[in-house]
Amino acid sequence: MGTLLQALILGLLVGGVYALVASGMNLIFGVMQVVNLAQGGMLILSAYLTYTLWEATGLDPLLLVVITTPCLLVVGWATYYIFIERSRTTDASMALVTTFGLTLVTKGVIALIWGNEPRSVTPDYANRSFSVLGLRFPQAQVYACLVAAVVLTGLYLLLRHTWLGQSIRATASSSEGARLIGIQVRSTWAAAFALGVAAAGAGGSLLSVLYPFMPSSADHWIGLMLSIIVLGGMGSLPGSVLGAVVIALAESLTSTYVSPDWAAAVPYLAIILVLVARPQGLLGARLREDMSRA
Amino acid sequence: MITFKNLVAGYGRAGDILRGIDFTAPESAITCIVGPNGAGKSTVLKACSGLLRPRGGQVLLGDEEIGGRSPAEILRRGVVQVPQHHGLFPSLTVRENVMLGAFVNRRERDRNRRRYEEIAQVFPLIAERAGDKAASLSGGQRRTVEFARALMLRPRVVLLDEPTLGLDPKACKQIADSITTLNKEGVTVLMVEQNVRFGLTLADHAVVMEGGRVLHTGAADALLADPDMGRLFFGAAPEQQETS
Repeated sequence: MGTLLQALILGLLVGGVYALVASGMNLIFGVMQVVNLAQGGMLILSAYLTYTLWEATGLDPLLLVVITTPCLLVVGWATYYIFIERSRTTDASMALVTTFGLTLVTKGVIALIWGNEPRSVTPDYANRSFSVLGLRFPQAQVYACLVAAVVLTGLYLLLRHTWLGQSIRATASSSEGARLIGIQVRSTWAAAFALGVAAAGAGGSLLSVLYPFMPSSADHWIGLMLSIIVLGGMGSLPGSVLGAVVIALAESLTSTYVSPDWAAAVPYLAIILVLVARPQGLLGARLREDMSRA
Repeated sequence: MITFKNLVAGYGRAGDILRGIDFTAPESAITCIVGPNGAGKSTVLKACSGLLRPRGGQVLLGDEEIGGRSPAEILRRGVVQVPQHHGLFPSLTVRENVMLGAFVNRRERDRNRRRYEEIAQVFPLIAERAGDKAASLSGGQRRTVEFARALMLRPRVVLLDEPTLGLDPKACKQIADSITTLNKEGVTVLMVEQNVRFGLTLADHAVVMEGGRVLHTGAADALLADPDMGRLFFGAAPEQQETS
């Protein structure tokens, strides 16, 4: 029983971080129907920024989200106007190819600046745990999960209760309808893309503390993000959270009861099962017009 | 009052859809544009609301030229369009949909809130279903929400594109009531309608278009009663249409 509880606790803590990591990609898809394959590269870029800032300043790496998030917001904004907007006007599939190209470029630039060897951020609490009733709560996972919850709540409130959020959700439903009520659709798309990349910025800081990373880690994370949003429902933010928790729990239980080697296969098995049984995902909408459920 | 003077417009690199449109939609009246498919009726509305930049001619709101301005600028001048499709945001609640009608004046929170309460009294559906997702509404109810949203800015002109498209007779009656309500608020209504009898019965003035040109303008009831016009442009006299 204790082993099961321990596996569930670890799964839930990691699930919170996964939810943040996937939410940005899902937001971008929900608003623009663009599968941003560059999101993995952005995540790793943020992890390296965190690493550099942590080494240079000694500040807590989890608190560095207040720097990496706005930095990636700007990167996302510029990326949208320079690359994505133009590719979207030609053909829908061009945006996919463009984001794939951006991933390659991002990984290449990271390798040029930081090299290809694995890095990790190890604050004092990296190997410490809280112990409650004989159960172990790793401090890094607990703090990372709390930061992820704060960022996700902020994103949710922004989408629900601000004019920017409402304009993003309206544009996701109908860009022509949005234009007719005076929403600047082009700026709104840019804002949604930037917010999505900013979420990867926050997620990158968190994962830098939890896992070692190198440029090619982007590929692992993009696979995981895709699994989460396909499972939870493409375009649904609550779906991202649910999908993330389910996958993290499945990984944790597989790792505990089967083998850590099999845990990495869980997300891909989840994709296959979901595509067969419920293609719209656990909380996804069947209609494209309902894709923007925040 | 909206006036179109020699308006020319089209899409992309294709040829002109509107080939010199001239007519006036009088102040505080309902004007209905009718005509066969491809006549350019919806294109007139798009050129008026800013969705489409005219290639030539003028669109005048009173004495002010609005042709070629952005949708947001035209909204601020009091011209609101309710489009044929995709006007409503299904994933947003009824209240959010209606409040978004005041997006261009979003900083005036108290005024918008008061206006919303006024509109909820005019359209009881808004108050009854305020917290429901718009996706859960019927076709007629969705249209009513769109009309309510159009009133948030206290518009001078409302452009309606095929308001009864895809609706059953009961929903059409709701729409007729909503259009009358809009007009009673002093709003000038310019609508495009495929359901000729519905449109002309409701309207004060009629505009008949074909091939991107205006063929006839005049009183709606006179056009409705004219058997020649019915035969020429609508395939049959209105009485025959009703029974067919």
